[in-house]
Amino acid sequence: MNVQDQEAAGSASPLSAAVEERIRAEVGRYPQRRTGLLPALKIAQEETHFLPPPVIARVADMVGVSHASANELVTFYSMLRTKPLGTTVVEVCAQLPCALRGADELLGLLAAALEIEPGDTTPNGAVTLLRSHECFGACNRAPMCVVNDEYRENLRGKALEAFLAEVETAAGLEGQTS
Amino acid sequence: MSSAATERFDTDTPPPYQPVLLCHPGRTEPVALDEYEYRAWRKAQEMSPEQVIEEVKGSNLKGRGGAAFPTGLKWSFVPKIEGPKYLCVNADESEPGTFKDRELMEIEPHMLIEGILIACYSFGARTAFVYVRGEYRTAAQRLENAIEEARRAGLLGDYQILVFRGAGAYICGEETALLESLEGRRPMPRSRPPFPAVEGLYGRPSVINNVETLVNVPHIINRGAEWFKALDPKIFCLSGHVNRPGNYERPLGSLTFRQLIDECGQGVHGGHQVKGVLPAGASAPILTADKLDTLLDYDSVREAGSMLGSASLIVLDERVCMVRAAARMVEFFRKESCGKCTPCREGTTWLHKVLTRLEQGQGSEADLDLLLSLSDEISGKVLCALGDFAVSPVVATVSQFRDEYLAHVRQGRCPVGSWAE
Ligand SMILES: Cc1cc2nc3c(=O)[nH]c(=O)nc-3n(C[C@H](O)[C@H](O)[C@H](O)COP(=O)(O)O)c2cc1C
Ligand code: SF4
Ligand code: FES
Repeated sequence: MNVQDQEAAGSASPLSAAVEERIRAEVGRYPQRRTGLLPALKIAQEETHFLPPPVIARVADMVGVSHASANELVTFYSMLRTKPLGTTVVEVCAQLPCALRGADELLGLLAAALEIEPGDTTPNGAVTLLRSHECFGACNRAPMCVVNDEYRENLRGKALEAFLAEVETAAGLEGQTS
Repeated sequence: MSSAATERFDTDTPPPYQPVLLCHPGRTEPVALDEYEYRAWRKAQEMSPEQVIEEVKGSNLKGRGGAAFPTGLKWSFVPKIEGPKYLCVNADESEPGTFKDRELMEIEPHMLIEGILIACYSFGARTAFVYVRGEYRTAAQRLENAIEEARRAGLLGDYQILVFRGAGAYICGEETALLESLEGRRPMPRSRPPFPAVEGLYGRPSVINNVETLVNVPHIINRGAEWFKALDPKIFCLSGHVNRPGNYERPLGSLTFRQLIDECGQGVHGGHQVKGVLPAGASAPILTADKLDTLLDYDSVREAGSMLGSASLIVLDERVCMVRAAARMVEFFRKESCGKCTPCREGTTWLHKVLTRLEQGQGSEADLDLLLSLSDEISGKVLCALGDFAVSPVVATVSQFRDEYLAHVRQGRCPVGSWAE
């Protein structure tokens, strides 16, 4: 542990010891510590689910950059989140190749099943539905979505039915759809 | 993970092309070390670095990341000076319609590693970064596993390959933004010069190469420049309204758009007609159906009025509303603009706003001129190519489908319904 880490460790950290250890190892992998900033923020987010200011500050201190420098990344990258989302995050790809194969319809079906608008979270905090303008590199298996970082592809026919049921279950809404 | 895309087909006319890069059709699991020989890597180490560069130069391999810059020439620009040099592998693959690097990394990680090692050897790098887009978790994990396999087998020597995961930003695929991202800064493109070959990662000489570019390299070393030059394999990502979308490897210039759609994609979905094809994802002008007999190579596509770029072909059938398609693509560029240049940041916001109102039937005829003048304000007046990418769907559709735009204005609504199959 370097001096900076020891000082920072003195105050209560918003991160667990295990996560801090992973961050230290990650930062040490690279020719320059700052390269580890983005990976460190992602590791922190795995534990805290989103990145509130105290977490950003702690990661910045560990990497040895200003809080502003870390914040600049958090507000830039779409995979870094500044607000809490539902336990399950369903992100539908709505970029052109998927849209040509039913992405808008998929998004509509999910919104109806979850009884929320894209961008919203179910009132019980279980599921967030997002519409992505980004292509996920799965256009050959469209339409698709990403569920908590996992790709769900070829969502049509029986696979689509099963998927809708799964999402309703995750939202605690099973059996309510007509 | 199902992949109908890479199945062999059962037609027997003419002799089917044997893929070199996607050489395990239908496979879903990665090729492991016990199935892969590092023959080219051994052979390259018996050559001098200069000989390796000459071989790659002679092969005429052009960068597959979009700009088609000659790879051997790029390597030769790295100054022969002491101290660290870096190879940065561009695996950010975020262009709409592009999914070839994903398949290469998921199925052929050792082919990529071998290409990386040979490239590093040629211009004197000992460390390579592979910048994998954050969403490609499977690809990044498989690549890391393969690197570990190769390391354990003693194949890496004193070379180090680091997998770096992005976090959702298309601009990181632009090579200088990628360097900024690797340095832990906001990924905003740098102005050039200095070029990365001289001052790249950490201010050191660096080469940025696409994944598909590098997987060609072992084959060039194994079979020679002449063999490669005669073949020139390229992966075409085929998506949109075709019966069988997927990655198809064919020699550049060996088939037309129509042949790719009919023979590889097994035709347009539902027997519909092609209205247009985007040859390079959202980033190059759409070509109308009368251009379908254009050969798929860089020069022919340019002569036809577009760019082959990363060869991500999106097929749009006759039912597609071109205003809506343009709006969808421009929405992408608006959200992915890094914001550094005012014309790009503000211009893409305006383009999207105007396209959206036109699509909803609330635009006016004057909006068409507004779109063109806004495009003019961006094109050539910004720091990186994203600005030009952003205007291409606008200019190409306004000029080629003007009547369709006007129909939206006159009818006060989109004359087309749903655009999905
Ligand atoms: C906005 C933008 C996005 C880009 N995205 C990618 C990408 O995802 N992958 C890639 O290899 N090249 C991408 N490029 C091209 C790179 O800047 C660079 O030319 C390429 O990686 C060089 O590799 P090559 O010579 O092997 O083709 C992009 C360029 C721009 C302007
Ligand atoms: S052209 Fe757009 S994306 Fe490129 S540097 Fe300027 S603002 Fe950023
Ligand atoms: S457009 Fe949806 S994955 Fe490419």
